[in-house]
Parts: sequence; structure tokens; C-alpha cells
Amino acid sequence: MNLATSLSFLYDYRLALFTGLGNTLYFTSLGLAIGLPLGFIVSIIRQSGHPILKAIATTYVEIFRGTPVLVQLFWFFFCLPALLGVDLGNVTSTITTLALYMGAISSESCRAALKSIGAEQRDACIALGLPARVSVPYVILPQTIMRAVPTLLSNCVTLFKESALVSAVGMADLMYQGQMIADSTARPIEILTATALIYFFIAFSVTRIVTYYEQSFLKRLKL
Amino acid sequence: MSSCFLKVQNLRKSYGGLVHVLDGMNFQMEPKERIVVIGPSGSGKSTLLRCIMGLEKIDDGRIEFEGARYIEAQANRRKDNLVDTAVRAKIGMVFQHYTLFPHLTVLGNLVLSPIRARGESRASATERAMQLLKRLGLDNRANAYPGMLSGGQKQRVAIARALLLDPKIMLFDEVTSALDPELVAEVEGLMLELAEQKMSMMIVTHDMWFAKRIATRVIFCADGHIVEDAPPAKIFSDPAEPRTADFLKKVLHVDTVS
Repeated sequence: MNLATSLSFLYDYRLALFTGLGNTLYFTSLGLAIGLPLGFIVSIIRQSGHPILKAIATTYVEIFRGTPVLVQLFWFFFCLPALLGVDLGNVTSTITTLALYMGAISSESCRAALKSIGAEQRDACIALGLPARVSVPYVILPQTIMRAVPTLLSNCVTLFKESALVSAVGMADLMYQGQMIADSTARPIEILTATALIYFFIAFSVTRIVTYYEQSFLKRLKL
Repeated sequence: MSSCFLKVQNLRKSYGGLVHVLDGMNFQMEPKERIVVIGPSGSGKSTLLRCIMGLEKIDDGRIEFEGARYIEAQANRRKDNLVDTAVRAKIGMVFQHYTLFPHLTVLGNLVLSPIRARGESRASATERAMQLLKRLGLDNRANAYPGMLSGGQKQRVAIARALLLDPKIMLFDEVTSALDPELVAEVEGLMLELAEQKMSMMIVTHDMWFAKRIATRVIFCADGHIVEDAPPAKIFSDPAEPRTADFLKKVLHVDTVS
């Protein structure tokens, strides 16, 4: 195998790969856009909600944390239509699955952050005469977000990588494109290595941001 | 209506009906008094201050402040027993673990409540805050975050934050217990300054030397009761109750050894 021919082979398929990456980013970002707020709301319900709502939220989180994403994708794609007659179509069922999975894992991160703020900060708010309309947006929320950001960003990376599974339900994401090209050209080494490097490059960049944030920002505040 | 400054009547609080932290506490306080509350751990000292701040739900009893009904035990009230929230604004409290807001600067910590809860203009609140910080020798730390301060500085900022709200009485709950020994003096020094300015205070502390120095009156609590209530000169040299004498013997002995 020769490096120059390998690179020119990859270059020929660049469009297909980038289209795949575009789809991967599309699914991931929609999953994040729905999943992150969902996770935050679920964490609040689990901490101080109505007992029935709390039970529903906990069941949801445990099911999605405790089953493989691949099974979840298949379930929404194959079982939901068969059981309830609701056919979401493959795009919607994929996004739904990713959003629900993201909601479940990020609700745990938010919950931990909310818990870590603790009763003493709340006592201080009362002693300073801060009503909830002040203490929540100016004291509780900023600290929750700051503390949750590192784990939430790690969750984003997890979702980005797990999204490769959507190729199994026929979504033309980066993984799917890579596999297709590999199969049709019988040259899996170049193409799968390139695919892996693209995933790695993006995931690694985000992980670096997390490290930088933790070291510069959180350490400075000693949060 | 009595015109007593602070009046605590028959205050009772238990956890789960089993542990009686406050078991019928009664006392009155005049303005400018400095009451130091001492006693073994679990005797209800901190809980007493927390009740006066309105942080705890009480089972029975009432608290009046400046002749006004403030806190009363009421059946069917789940959250707190506050009768009059406006009264609470006259009370300031400082905690053992500083409880500064870590995401705000020193100045941000001070002006949050005046601006957001009391509607003071940012300019006026900032000016008052800077004056106060200057008085405490902390003006050069105004833009620092709490995480960058020493424990003593943090606690002085916490005191400044409470003072900026112009409280009529300050409650200090073991404010030097979390400090390194060499930092205790700067915080106690600030409290002594407040004493000179005739601030009314209630102080829970384990530091008997400081208690002796700052108190106009000492209350010894045990098992949720007030066992003895006397001026510091009396209680430290000639306690009336054997339990007080026993307690003082233990803590002062430990203090001289360590």
C-alpha cells in the first residue's frame, strides 16, 4: 500500500465522507438541542417534583441509561410502529432516540450539579433576603450550569460517538458512508481509518475544551 | 404589646419527634446586648440562631422582634413559621462555612441583595459596598473571586455582605470554627469592632476566651434548655449551675492543653 495512492483514493471520496459527517453533526446537534433542556427539566423534577412525576422521570432515566443505544434505536424504529402503530419514520425515530438518550444521561449530570450546591447556599440566600426570583437566576442556576458544563460536554462527546449507531437503521451518517465506501471499493483500511480520525479529531477537540475549562475557569473559582 | 427587642418564647424543635434540639427555650434580649451562646455540641445553639434567622421550621413557640410578631408555630404550615417576612430583613447572619457565592466577585456578593432584592441602584450599592470594604481593609480584593481569598478574608467578606443590608442584629454561627488558627484573630477583631459600634449580636462559639471578651451576657445551653444565663464575669469565674462548671472545666482544660 502506498501513501500517495491511499490519500488520492480518500480524496476522491471526500464529498461522500463530508456529507456523512454533516448528517452525523445534524443528528448529534438535534439530539443535544432537545436532550440538554430535557435533561435539565428531568433533573429538577427528580429533585423536587410531585411523587408520581418523580417516579416517571426516574423510570425514564434508568431505562435509557440501562439499555444499549443500539437497542433503543431499533426499538423506536421497529417496535414502536408495530406496538402502537406510530411510525415516526427513520429520521424522526433516530432523533427521538438520541434526544431521549441524551436527556437521560445529562439529567444525571445536572442532578449531581444541583445537589452539590447544597443547603448552605440556600440558607445564605434566605439570610440575605433573596426571594426565589433572585436566588434561582443569580445564585442557583449559574452555579449549576458552571458545575455541570464539564460532564455535559463529555455527554455531548458520548452522544457524538454513539450516533455512529444510527447507520444501523439506515441513516447516511459518517459511519454509514464510510462502511458503504469500504464495501463497494473493498478498501476498508484507508476509509475506516479516515472515518475514525474524523471522529477522533472532533471528539478530541471537545475533550480539550473541557480540560481547559476545568483548569482555567473552575479552578480559579474553586467551584 | 411588649416593646422588647428580641423575645424568644417556649421555642421547641425536634427532628422526627425524637431528638428535641430545642426543648422550650425562653429568653429576652435588649438592644446593644452581645449574647454569646455556649454549650456542648448538640445542645441546640446553632439551631437557636437558625430559628431566629427563620431557616428552620419550629414545632412550638414564638419569636418577637422589636415588639412585632415575627415567627410563630402554626399547625398546617409545612414550610416555615414566618408571620412577617419584613422582620427577617432586619436580621443578618454569618455562617461557619462563609457561604459566599463562588461565581460572583467580592463586590458582586455584596451588592446582589441590595440591587436585586431591595431595588437599590447599582451606583449607590457599589459606593456603599466599596466604602464598607475600605473600612475593613478589603477594598483591594473587591474584584477577586471568593476562591482566591484566605479563610479569614472570606469570613470578613461574609460579615460585610450581611452588614451592607443594615441589620439591627447580627447572628454569628461558629464563624471562626472553620478557620486556620492564625486567621481567627482578624475575624474576631472585626467582631470586636462591631461590638464597639454597639451592634446587637448573638454569637455561637467554642472559643471561651473570645466569649469572655466580647459578651455582655453568656447563655449556657444543654439538651435544648437554657441552663444558665449570666454576665461573662459571673459565668466564667463562678458558675451557679454544676453543669455549667463541668462544661467549662472540660473545654478550658482542653484549650489550655492544645
